[in-house]
Amino acid sequence: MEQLHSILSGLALKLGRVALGISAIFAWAYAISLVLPSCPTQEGGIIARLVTIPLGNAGVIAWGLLLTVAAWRIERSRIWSILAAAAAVFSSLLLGEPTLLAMLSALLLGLSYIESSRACAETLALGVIVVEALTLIYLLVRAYGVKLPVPAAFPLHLSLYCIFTPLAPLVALAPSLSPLVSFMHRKRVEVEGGIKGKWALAFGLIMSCLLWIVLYASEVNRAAKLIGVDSNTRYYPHALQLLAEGFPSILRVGYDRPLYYFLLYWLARSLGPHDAVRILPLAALVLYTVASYFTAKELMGERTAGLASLTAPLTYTVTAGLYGGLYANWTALSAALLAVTSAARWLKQGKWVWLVTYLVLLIVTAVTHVYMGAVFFTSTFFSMTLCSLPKECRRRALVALVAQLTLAALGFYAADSFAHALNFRPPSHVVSSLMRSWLNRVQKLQLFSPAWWRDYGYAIYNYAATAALDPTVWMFTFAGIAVVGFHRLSGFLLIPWLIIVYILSFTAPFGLMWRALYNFPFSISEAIGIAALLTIIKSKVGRETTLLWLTAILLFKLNYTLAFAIGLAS
Amino acid sequence: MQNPLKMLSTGAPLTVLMILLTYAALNYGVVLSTYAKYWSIRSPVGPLDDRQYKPAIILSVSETPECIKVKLMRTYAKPGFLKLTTVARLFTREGGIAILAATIQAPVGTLQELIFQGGMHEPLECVEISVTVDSTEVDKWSSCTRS
Repeated sequence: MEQLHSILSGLALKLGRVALGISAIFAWAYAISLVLPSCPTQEGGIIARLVTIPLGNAGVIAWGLLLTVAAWRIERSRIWSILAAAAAVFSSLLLGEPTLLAMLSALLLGLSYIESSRACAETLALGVIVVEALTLIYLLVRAYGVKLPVPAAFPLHLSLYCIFTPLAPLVALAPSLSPLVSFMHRKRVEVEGGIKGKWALAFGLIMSCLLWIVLYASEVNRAAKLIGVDSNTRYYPHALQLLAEGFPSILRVGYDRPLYYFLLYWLARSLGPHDAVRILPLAALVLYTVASYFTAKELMGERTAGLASLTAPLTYTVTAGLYGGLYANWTALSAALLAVTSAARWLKQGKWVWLVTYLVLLIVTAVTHVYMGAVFFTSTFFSMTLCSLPKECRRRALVALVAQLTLAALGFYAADSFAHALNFRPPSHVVSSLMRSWLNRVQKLQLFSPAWWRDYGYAIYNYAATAALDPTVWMFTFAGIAVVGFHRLSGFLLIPWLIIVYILSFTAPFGLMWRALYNFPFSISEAIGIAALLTIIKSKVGRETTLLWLTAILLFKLNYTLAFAIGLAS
Repeated sequence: MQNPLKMLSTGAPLTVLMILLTYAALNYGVVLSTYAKYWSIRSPVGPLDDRQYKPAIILSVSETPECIKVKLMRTYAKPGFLKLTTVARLFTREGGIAILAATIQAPVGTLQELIFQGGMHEPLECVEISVTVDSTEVDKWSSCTRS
């Protein structure tokens, strides 16, 4: 009997926290709707979506009931709290604005914080989970055109991040400062938070498939139109051209990404050009998720790897990649991640097989996407130079450095000779033309001037088509890189990469600023950032609340990406 | 002259960075003013308005000699309904009727403006607007006094 009583009181406590959590988010959304009444989102272009809580009279009563449930557990002032909830409902109905309900929700949350910070953290996490779970249902109902009334939780989801949208370009720049923070913060920070790998990888792959299904097998894209700018302007017409002109045209048509065009040609022959282009994002999603898992496992361990495989389908790489149809770049990024894994193994274990694998993957990256290859080669050059500083891996790093420089020189020479002989555009021309356009821009560059901000704002809001508006990508990347520091191999491998990508983004020609950001594996840095955050939460409020926050973060990211994908497909 | 390596260990680089960040923040206003259109559109319907349970609401209709402008709100209700059809029935003083229709795939939580042109060759007696979502009428507006 006593056990039953304790179970029931535990359930009542949880229910009270859920009710207060939802009320707190209602209050937050109401406050946001007064300050920032709309939010830019993607749906057939950029649209301003209203951040409004569609309560109606019934909604006000429901909010009042939630507050009553939340107040029930405050034994000392139960009656007063319930009376206050009733008064708030009455005044809201009378005034037509839920101001008092919002204030009472904030007050109860404040009391919960005074009572215990753990209870408050759990309350907020539960609120976010419920809201995001309802948003997930809402989005799936929208994607599949199910004609059922569902709670309109989507604006509540918008309210959680839209406060950052006016600051989005600043937030997106924040990770560029993280190496400095990392340099100044000399103490090694332990990252223990995370989730076990294999199951997380399975979930990551399921989410990858879900995104692809929403794009190509949902009601919003009944006509099965091709999604992504490059799908329509590059891959589909080029697939037709490759089929018409045959195998030898691969090098001529896809001179800056020959390996990827070989894949495109093979898929187009097997499935037909339309289905071949449709399958490209699925291949990129799956490969990126798997590559993120293995890289994070090698650099940070199994638990961070679990997080990386969960964040991989839910990050800027995916949203920007799906919008632009940047499949070759995305695939090359995955190959670069696998190259990093091999490099880390070579530096740790010193087995020659890993050095050879690293060099092969370096070539694969370059021939899948020459630009990505150039960025990655430059970053690994600095990484290996950094790795040669500590004694323990100096010799291996220098061997890798010499090997990759030799390989690059020989590779360029061979590819250029081959290109001249076969009459297609040589890689040196591609790289030098890119460098010329960059240098032209750099000569006129006025960093952080109003004109520069105008360009950067356009890159973040318009060119990236709201893909860059998920603040968690930049915040967790900032935290991840700041934490990883120069104490670990992962820092030596990731920090130069991030610095190069940001330098390129700052100095890129107008239309390429958002593309420059595309060449960094945000899944890894985000996973490290989340793991660090979970480590802090765990030390302050315990394991159970940590898991709740992890669920809340992942559900938020899933809904952001899913809403973006639905917007693209619509 | 101070040794540059020694300067690195002092606060000099941080001071330069702080000046750069201040300069960046001071010029950031251009972003706020250029893109304010994305976060400053206010909902004309209050949170307690029960009309938000309908998938679409007619907010206003304005007639000019050249066109009829209909302002709509696609609410967050019933997200599975994808197509929104607006029909304008124009009654002329001579007793004629012109019917104009527009079907759009309106994103949830947005304001839409439809402009009906054509069919306005004669002086109008009154106008009726109806909004249907996947063939169910959800809202209507009329300036006709007679049925």
